[in-house]
Order: sequence, then C-alpha cells, then structure tokens
Amino acid sequence: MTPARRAQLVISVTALSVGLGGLLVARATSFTTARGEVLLGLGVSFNVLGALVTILLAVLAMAGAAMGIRSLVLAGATGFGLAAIQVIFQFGRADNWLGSRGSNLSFWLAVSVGLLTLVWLQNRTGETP
Amino acid sequence: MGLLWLTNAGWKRPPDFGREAGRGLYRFTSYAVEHEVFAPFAFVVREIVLPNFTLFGWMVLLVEAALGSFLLLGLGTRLWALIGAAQAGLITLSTLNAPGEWNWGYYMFVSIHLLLFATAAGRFGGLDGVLRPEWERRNSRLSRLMMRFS
Repeated sequence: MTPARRAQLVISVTALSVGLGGLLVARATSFTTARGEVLLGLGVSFNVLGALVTILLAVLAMAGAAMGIRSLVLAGATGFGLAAIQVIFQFGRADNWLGSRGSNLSFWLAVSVGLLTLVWLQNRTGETP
Repeated sequence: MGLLWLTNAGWKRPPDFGREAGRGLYRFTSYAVEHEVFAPFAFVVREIVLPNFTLFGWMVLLVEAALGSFLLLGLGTRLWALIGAAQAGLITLSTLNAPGEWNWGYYMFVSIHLLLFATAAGRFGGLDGVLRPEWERRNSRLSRLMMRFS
C-alpha cells in the first residue's frame, strides 16, 4: 500500500471513529436537534443526523482508500467539505441540521482537505491501485 | 496544538459571538481593555475590534478552525505554526492580566507554536512528509511555496 493510501485510511478511520462516538453521545437527542451533544469535551458536536452523515462519508472514503478507488475518496472528501460549509451557514442558528459547531468546521475541513490533497498526490504520481 | 485549536473553535458562537450577553469571545476580547496588557493593543481593541465585533468574531472563528485543521493534518505546518504563534500572541495580549489567568500557560502557548515552526513538525508523521517528495520533484511556483511552508 502506498503512503498516500495509508494516509487516506488513517484520516477516514479517524473520521469514522469520531462519527461512531458522535452517534453514541447523540443517541438520546432528536434526529436534527440544532444543539448537538459534544463528544468527550473535544468540541465537535453531533445530533443523530450529523453523526450518521459523518459515518457514511467516512465509510465511503475508507472503502475508496482500501480498494484504491479514487472517485470514492473524492466523493467522501467533497461531502466533508460540504458539511464544513454547512457549519458556516447554520452554526448558532435554529436550523442547524447536523447539530454542529465551530469544532466540526475545523474537523470536517481537516478531513476534506487531507483526503483531497492525497487524491491530488495520487493523480500527480499516476498511482495505480 | 491542532486539537487545542479545534476544540476551542467550538465556543466561538455566531451570530453575535457573545456580544449581547457579554460573554464568550466578546467577554475575553474585552479583557484587553479592562485588564490592559499593552496600551496600543487595548486602543485598537476598544476603537476598532469591539465596535465591529461580528466581523472580528467570524475572522477569529475561521482562522482558529483552519489552524485546527492544518496543524492536525501536519499540512503547511511551518506556515500555520507562525499563524498560530501570532494568534496565540494576540490572545495573550487580551487575557494575560485578567484575574485567575496562569501567565506561563500563555508563554507556553506561543512557544510551542515556535517549536513546531523550528522543527518543521509536519515532516514527521504529518501530510507534509508524504507530499514533500512530490513538491520537490515539481518545479512550479506553488510547489516551491509549499516547500517553504512545510
């Protein structure tokens, strides 16, 4: 496995762990409550929908990294980028669909930029699965 | 350090960033005036920052969220370490003399960023380490820039 794919796996597994943790802490909240539950004092917060979105995108990116399918990693990275943008428009408002806050912006941005940069690297080096 | 910024991006809450209730980011920024550390900085905060607090709040939120992202990834680490040191310096100038604050915490806050810069920490276990060989091979302007930033 190449360093780029290994790094993609590390990033997506981290995102998956955070998403699963988010689901655990948010299980008692309503599906789209604006104020999510904070995960272990780390700042990132989720309602059930936010946690499920994170898990889904992470699984997509993880599958892409494991099987060497760049389009899947790219789809996951784009999704995380959109989730980060959602924070900018909805954090602190009544219609905060993912129950997110500033820390989610930071986290989802990291996952998105990390995965995108690594896909760029794979394209540049012409890496094959 | 990335995790620290990421965690602290959570309580900078738009749309007013605590202005209405006099708490949150607004309260901590007001310390620069109430418990002055450096007179010119207190003047800037009183005359420019506090009257335009929504814009300032968004700038802080976006910069700190980006600091969390890039330092956590170890991408462009030297650049973001310098930005982090500058931001930590500004926070120090706001809150150093506030009651109950531990001064050494602020000195370490700035120093650790300078340490990340000096050691180019992203090259070891960060994305900088994965990407530098490719940046080195390419001779584009962006690649040369990223070589400096990492």
